[in-house]
Amino acid sequence: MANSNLPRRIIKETQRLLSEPAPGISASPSEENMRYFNVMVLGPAQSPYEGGVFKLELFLPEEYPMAAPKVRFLTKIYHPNIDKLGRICLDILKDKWSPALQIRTVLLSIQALLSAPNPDDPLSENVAKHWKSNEAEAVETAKEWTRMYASGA
Amino acid sequence: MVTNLLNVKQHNARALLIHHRWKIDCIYDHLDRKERDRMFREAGIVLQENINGKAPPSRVVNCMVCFDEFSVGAVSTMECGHYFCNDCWTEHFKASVDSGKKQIRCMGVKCPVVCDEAVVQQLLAGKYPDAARRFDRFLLESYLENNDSVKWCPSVPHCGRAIRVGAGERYTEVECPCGLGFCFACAAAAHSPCPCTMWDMWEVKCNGESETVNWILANTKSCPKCFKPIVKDGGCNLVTCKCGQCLW
Repeated sequence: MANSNLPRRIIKETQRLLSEPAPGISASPSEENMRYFNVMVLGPAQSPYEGGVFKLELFLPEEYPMAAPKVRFLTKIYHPNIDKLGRICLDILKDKWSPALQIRTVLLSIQALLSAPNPDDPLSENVAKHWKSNEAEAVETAKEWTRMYASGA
Repeated sequence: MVTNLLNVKQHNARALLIHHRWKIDCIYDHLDRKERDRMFREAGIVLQENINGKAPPSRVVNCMVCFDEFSVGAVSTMECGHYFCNDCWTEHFKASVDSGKKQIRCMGVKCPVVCDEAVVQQLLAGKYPDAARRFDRFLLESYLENNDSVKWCPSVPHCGRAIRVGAGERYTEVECPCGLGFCFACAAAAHSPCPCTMWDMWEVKCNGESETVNWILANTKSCPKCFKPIVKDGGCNLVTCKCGQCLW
């Protein structure tokens, strides 16, 4: 089995994720590949994503935890730091990665990014422009997308 | 000199010099204007005297990277007080050297502290002697590459020499003992009184690849520090040149 030489850290992290999940977050490994996780994140309260259920995929590369996990949104989302392919601009997934971070902390940071969009460091140029020129309208679009794409769990 | 003046260890002095691009004047200047502690903090240095008893709390500790338990002897603590097992430190140092980092930071989350070179060397040498040698070379090269007043002679084949100029002479033309005269600012053949940017454009034009040049002009930005053309093909606006300069 390809999963037989999985590092102890990944096994322990997986066990903890399943036994004591973080609020509003669920992550479960795929059966074929224990390094691939199906993730669900609930849109945080008081954000335009409230009420939405967002699917993500998370993959732990061979070098993990010396290299950051690869994370991507599968559900369409209107957010200045997430592009149309679901890629996320988040410092801890790039140069600020630390091996002391975990799947749990990464997902919590992503959830926090939903509460606090940062249009000054955009990944989606158009969304960021919209956010800066007319924030109320951009928030409305984000709510609409949440209803359209993230409501059916 | 810095070691004596500020009463710090060699690796801390080096971190400080790298942060200030080996300009001692700049360090003196900062020391005058800022407090000593703030200057150290900005360069990623924590002094031993500032941490009291942050050593691992018990005889058996949990490494927060591999989640295994270790006796205190198999764990290393950095000056910031973060401790992890030696195996994880070793892998972290190897990964950092492999990705070309000249300064290896602590594994703690967003911890800015630069790891003690002695620990890096010692742990790397045991398992990855190759990486240890490369790290050693990084330390030497950091003096040359981050130092505005020292440059490799651009001779081909390389004569092995580096040239140092005084603080006010960074835009002069120099002659290496191997006989090659060159512009110290851009490392091209001596071209005064024509400025470096104009000379660069002239060279490009002379090489006759005008279509390529047009593409480069239309699609790239030059790094404001090392002038290498850089293309951004997606991602966010945080772009860092190989030379360390941020742009876009």
